Amino acid sequence: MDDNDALLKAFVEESREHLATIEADLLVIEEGGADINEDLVNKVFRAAHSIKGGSGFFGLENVKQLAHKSETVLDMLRSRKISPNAEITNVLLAAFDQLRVMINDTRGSESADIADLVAGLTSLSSAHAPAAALAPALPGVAASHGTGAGTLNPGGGPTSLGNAAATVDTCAKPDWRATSGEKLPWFVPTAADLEKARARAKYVYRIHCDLIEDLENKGRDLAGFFHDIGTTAEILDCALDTGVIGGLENAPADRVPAQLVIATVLDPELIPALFAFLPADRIEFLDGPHPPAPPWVSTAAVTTAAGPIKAAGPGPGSVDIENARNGLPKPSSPKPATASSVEDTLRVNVALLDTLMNLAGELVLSRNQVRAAVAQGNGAMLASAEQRINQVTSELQDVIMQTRLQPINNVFAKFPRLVRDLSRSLGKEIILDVQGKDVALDKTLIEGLSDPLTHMMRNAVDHGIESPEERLAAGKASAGTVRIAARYDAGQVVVEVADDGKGLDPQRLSDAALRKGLITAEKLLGMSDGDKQALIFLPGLSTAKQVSDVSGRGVGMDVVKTNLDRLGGQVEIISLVGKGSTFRIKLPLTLAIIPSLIISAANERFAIPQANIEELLRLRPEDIKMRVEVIGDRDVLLLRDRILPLAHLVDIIGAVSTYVDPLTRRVEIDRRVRVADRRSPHHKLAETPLEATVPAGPAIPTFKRGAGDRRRGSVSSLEIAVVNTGVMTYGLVVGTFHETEEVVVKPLGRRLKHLREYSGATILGDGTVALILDIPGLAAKGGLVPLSATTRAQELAVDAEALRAQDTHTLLLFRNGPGEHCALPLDLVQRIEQIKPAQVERLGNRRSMQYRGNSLPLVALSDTAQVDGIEQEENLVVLVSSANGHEVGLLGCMPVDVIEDKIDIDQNTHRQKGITGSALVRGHTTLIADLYELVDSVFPEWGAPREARRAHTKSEQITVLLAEDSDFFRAQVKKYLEEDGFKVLAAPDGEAAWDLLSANTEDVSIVVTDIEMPRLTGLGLAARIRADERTSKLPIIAVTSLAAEEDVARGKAAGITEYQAKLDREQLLASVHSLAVLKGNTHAG
Amino acid sequence: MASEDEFDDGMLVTGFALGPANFGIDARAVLEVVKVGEMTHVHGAPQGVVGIRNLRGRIVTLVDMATHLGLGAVELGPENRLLIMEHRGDCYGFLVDAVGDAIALAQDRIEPPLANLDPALLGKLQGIWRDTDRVTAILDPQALFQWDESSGTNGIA
Repeated sequence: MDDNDALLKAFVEESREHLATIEADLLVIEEGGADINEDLVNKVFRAAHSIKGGSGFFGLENVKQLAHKSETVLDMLRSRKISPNAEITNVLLAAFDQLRVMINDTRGSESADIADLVAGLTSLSSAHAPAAALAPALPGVAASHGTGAGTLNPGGGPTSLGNAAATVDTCAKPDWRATSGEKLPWFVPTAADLEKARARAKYVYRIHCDLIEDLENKGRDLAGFFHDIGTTAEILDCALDTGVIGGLENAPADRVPAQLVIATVLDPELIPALFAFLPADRIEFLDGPHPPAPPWVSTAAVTTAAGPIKAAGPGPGSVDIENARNGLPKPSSPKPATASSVEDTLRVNVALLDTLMNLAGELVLSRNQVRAAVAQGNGAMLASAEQRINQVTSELQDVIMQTRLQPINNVFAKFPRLVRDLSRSLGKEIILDVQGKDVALDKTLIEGLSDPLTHMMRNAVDHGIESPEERLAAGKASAGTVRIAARYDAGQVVVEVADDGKGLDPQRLSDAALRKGLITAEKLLGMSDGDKQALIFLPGLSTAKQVSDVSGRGVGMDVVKTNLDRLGGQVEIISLVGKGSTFRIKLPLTLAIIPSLIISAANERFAIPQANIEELLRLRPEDIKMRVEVIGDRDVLLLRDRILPLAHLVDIIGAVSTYVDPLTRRVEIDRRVRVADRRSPHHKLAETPLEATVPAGPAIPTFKRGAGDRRRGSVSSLEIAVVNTGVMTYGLVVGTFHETEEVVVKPLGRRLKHLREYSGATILGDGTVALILDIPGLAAKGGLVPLSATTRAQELAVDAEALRAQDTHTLLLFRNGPGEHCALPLDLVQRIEQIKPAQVERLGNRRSMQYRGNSLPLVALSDTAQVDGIEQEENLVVLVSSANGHEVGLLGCMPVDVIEDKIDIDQNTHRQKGITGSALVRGHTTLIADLYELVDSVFPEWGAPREARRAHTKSEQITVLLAEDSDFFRAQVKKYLEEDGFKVLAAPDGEAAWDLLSANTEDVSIVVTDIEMPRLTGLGLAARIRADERTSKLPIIAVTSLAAEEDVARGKAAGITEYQAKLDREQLLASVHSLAVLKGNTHAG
Repeated sequence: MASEDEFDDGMLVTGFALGPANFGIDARAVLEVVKVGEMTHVHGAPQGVVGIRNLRGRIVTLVDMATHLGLGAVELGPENRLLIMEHRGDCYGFLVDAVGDAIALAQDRIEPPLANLDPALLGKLQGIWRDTDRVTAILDPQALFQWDESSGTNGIA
């Protein structure tokens, strides 16, 4: 980079800083109206001025012209020739916007069209020109500034100069110039230059000389002269009197009078040394830390610009140009503007830098200590050095992090303007409330927040706040309030964008989503208002009645959400129709150093940010079949009462899954494609883990083999990180967990940046590189969708469509004898125990066994059904279950397996006591056991309490409406209910159930419904029941095989009273009883 | 800069081998030559990117030079080296079979590459240098950083 580039870069950066603060200042100035905040006007003026100066130097004519025009208007503001109003502010804001654009693209700036802006500014200044001329105060102020730069660029002379020239001409000239009798455009150093010089404790002088007389004739060369000055002083400005030189027709000029304004550390006593060849009176003191003592200082020049105060004499006051001109108190030195968010340089507090220096010193000391310790082989010393380094490093890290933290105001600062402009164009009245400007966030986050927040602010103003008329009609103040606030909260930063507008109308959102085909009507029925409001995040949804250029472009909140996800942020909506909306964003404080869990998979190590991790699981082989299920074509993880999508890291990133063969110690390809495959076709994985993992092919060549990759000892355990993306939670199957580390995030190169599954890389303790997994990116790449709420309903609906013909059942397969295939619904089985025949004890015709310190009653199918006896079998198993409140075991024998499939259960052919029906499973006719029936007949005394209940129920004549699409389950549940004395009306779907209910509103006391049903789902049915006043008070029990937390919440919102597991007879009946009796007491009668 | 070289029109290239072929690249473009070291594979990376590694705290993107030039792939061996180069602020390590001597050559004696070469390779060549007994293909350092559009880095980054 050559010098000019470096200078230009510095100019651009400095200009950006100036521009960053201007907007807010202009708005404040406008607000103040005629009561001008002079400090602010001066500040903006100085900014425009320094941009003008720099752009002239780099030949950026457009920038210069625009800056100059703005400056002129600002100057008129400053001198109160015009007072700030919306029109002026608009034009100025537009001009500074354009300046910003041009500064950011200096190359393209010359081709930018600024004619309109220039015309706008000119009309502002000229419209008020008469007033300016009449104003008694301080003529020629604007001009003196114009000339500062204008002299060197004769072509660029601004129009307002005309005024100035006249003023200047009439001014007194210093003595030495009087002899020339020529005009020299006098100038004074700019306020900004003086300010700068003052800040650096420099003296400012004006040097009067003649290039011919004083230099050439004395044998000094011009370049040398400037070079000499340049070594000890900074040349602030320079002007030549070109008028003296004359045209070609004149005789060659014998003098070229010039003036230089310089800033230097040389005090008035020393300065003559620099200009030894000039008479002392050619050096004029203008400003400096100490007033000049020497009497030789000329004051004449000062008076040229500040005529009215000439009488003030040579005291300090007279040299303070700024004060003199405006009669203002000296403006406090401008606070350094904070760097705008898009730059690659950063302003750092000097105190922080000092701390860093100290720490660096500490580090060097510690290194020396380590060296010495190593040289001497001194363990104790090494330990102490290690401790010290540890301490220094963490402190270093801390301080460096602080340097990255930037106030969120870097983003907030643009909102006053945004809100002002928007509300103006939309004809709304809006009060903006900004809080927590000082909250500091990592620079990366600040940059990433800018777009989403801007969009949300636009939304709040455009869609949130109503028009003043609407507001008044709704009984609100005509001015709406938009609040943006940031605060710290438990290690996170919370940013809220709130408005007191009309709120998000769930109905309108869902209508829009429906109209655009983003959601099905069926799905909508089950959605709460909150869900519907969350639809705003769906891609392609825009509810603006008119697509405006403000925010109704059909892209928006989905992009906001995506952007926030990438930052690790979470967003939630709190909105009440008519009251307003709040979007709450939670963000981590920093992204540069993140605590992470190191894991390994496919022979590589990866880092997962702790912020994404909810919990870590290790599923032992025997847990896998219990906890991993298949829904549709995906694995899901059953975690307590939640169902989470499960994904394999190696599958998503496309690596080949490997394991170390425990026998050959070679790395082998893991052929298990899916976790759930492990339990089929034979449920043997637990015993013979390698059966499914066929060692094949050559060992995979690897560059590195992480020690943690050996899966010996837990060959078929699954290590699962339960991770959260902010929108969804899923299980990520990894190879092995390692330690947690604070990792420093390093960006990937351009060739790899597009990979969404990685958010960067980090260097581990051993110097190797680990990729940092991007949890949301991985989910997207793996096509994972949240199984919660709406999406899951949709998935299930699709699946259900395909499965409609047959119901899906999960059955535990066992044998009653060698040839008798039997099954029990898996839901009913609590545990499976392998026992020896000798363990079975007989007492009369009853069996039992010792189990966990108690006697476990045992039943066999042969107790009630015409099947073979089982006692003779060797490999017995006991399926532990419970019935009528007692734990009971069903005897069967190996092999045992689990199947989840579409099974058509025939409830007639093999129906007998203890056998509910039969089905064709894997080519065998399989008897489905009816455990409850079996137990009831073997242990009738257990049914006594139930009997009492039943008698009661019968006398009450309670009718239950049952909606269930599965024939099998419907028959089962109907049977339970009828056995308990209820009258049951059964329907195969929600619509049919609603019809039945409508026809029998008087009789039905309670509704039991499945959730997933064709035509009308359980939630839809519930919503309909609640909406009809005849039925709105009916208790509704939802039966489901799997109930996730969200579903329960959703169900409750739709009006579901209780959730029960499908085949848990006891619970279901107890629930029906209590609710129906309750209902009986309050209503029926 | 140029005045420090031995010849005014001379150029120093770093020689390296890809299989049987000799290549050279302007030595000024090569920051350093290092051994392969521990590399981390990046699954899903575009073709030719074999991984990343740590070089004094910087993440270096490793590119198989042979794949990049359409000449197959570098076979891993003890002579493998990485040519570390920088482009637009990113650090790259080009994996080559072996690194040879630096060759001083006269720029005016560089011959145009043979037109019958694979166009993908041709586009990355500056010319051919013939010494007494061997031919060295001189790579254009700038063209080296033009990636094949199909191999997937465009658009998003």
